[in-house]
Amino acid sequence: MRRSVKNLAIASIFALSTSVAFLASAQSVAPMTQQIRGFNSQFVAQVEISNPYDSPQKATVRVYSSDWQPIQPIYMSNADRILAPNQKVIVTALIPFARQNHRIVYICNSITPRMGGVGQSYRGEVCGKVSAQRLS
Amino acid sequence: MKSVKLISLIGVAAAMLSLSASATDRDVNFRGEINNSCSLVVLNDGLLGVSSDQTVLSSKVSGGQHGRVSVVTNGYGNTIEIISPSGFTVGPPSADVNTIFETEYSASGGTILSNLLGVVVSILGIGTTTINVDATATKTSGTFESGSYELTTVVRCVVP
Repeated sequence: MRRSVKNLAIASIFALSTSVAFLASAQSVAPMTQQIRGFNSQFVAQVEISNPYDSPQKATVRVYSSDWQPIQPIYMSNADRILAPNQKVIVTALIPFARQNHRIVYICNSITPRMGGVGQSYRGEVCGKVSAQRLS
Repeated sequence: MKSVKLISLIGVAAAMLSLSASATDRDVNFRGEINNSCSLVVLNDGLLGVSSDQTVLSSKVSGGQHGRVSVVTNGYGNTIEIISPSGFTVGPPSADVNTIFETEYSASGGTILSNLLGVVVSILGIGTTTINVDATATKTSGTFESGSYELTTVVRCVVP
């Protein structure tokens, strides 16, 4: 009886980890929303981006304000890089509060694959929303 | 001999009782987290057909074909929108002159949508949604001259 419970537990953990791994392998930006609090005049946001295609793709990460104006981060890692199929990387951005106590920004990962079309291509863009609160 | 056996049995029972009395329950908690995510995969690019009077380049006219994008979401609140191109990425010098760009999309699967303008923001359901995207470039004056034309449409998944 005890052994069967143990086997069931092991099987459940395996199934859960497999399903989580499957979800993780298919994501382009995660998390899609996050809240950050900080005391400084800038805040750090991190998202995980991935290439869901079966071929290497160039991923471009940009930061936009809440009204979709481009923001130049103080620092950003992995802003432009080639990702291998299903490769995931963490992007870290240091973003200024710009004299605001509450700032909402979007961190967007875009990939423009070539899929054999003529005259028309599509750029997939996934944008995670970051809500940052400055404590003072 | 029988009494010794009885005493030892009583002793074992008492020991078990004292053991069970001293045992306490402890909760073992497990935590897990799955991030809200959105994944876009362009399944195929589109084809631009040309109208007989050469005033329209579109995936909706004869010879054209819409593009297909697969969107996978695992949480509520994600939306989709199609951003029209502001110009051709490839084309003759006159390509963008007096030209307006429009997009339309429909969705099937986890989200059902029909013939919406690209500027319309739609909430996505959980699961896999296939989106058919059309793009159109129309000359408000004059015609498209001969040459190769290419445009890029942005399909955006975002939490508003």
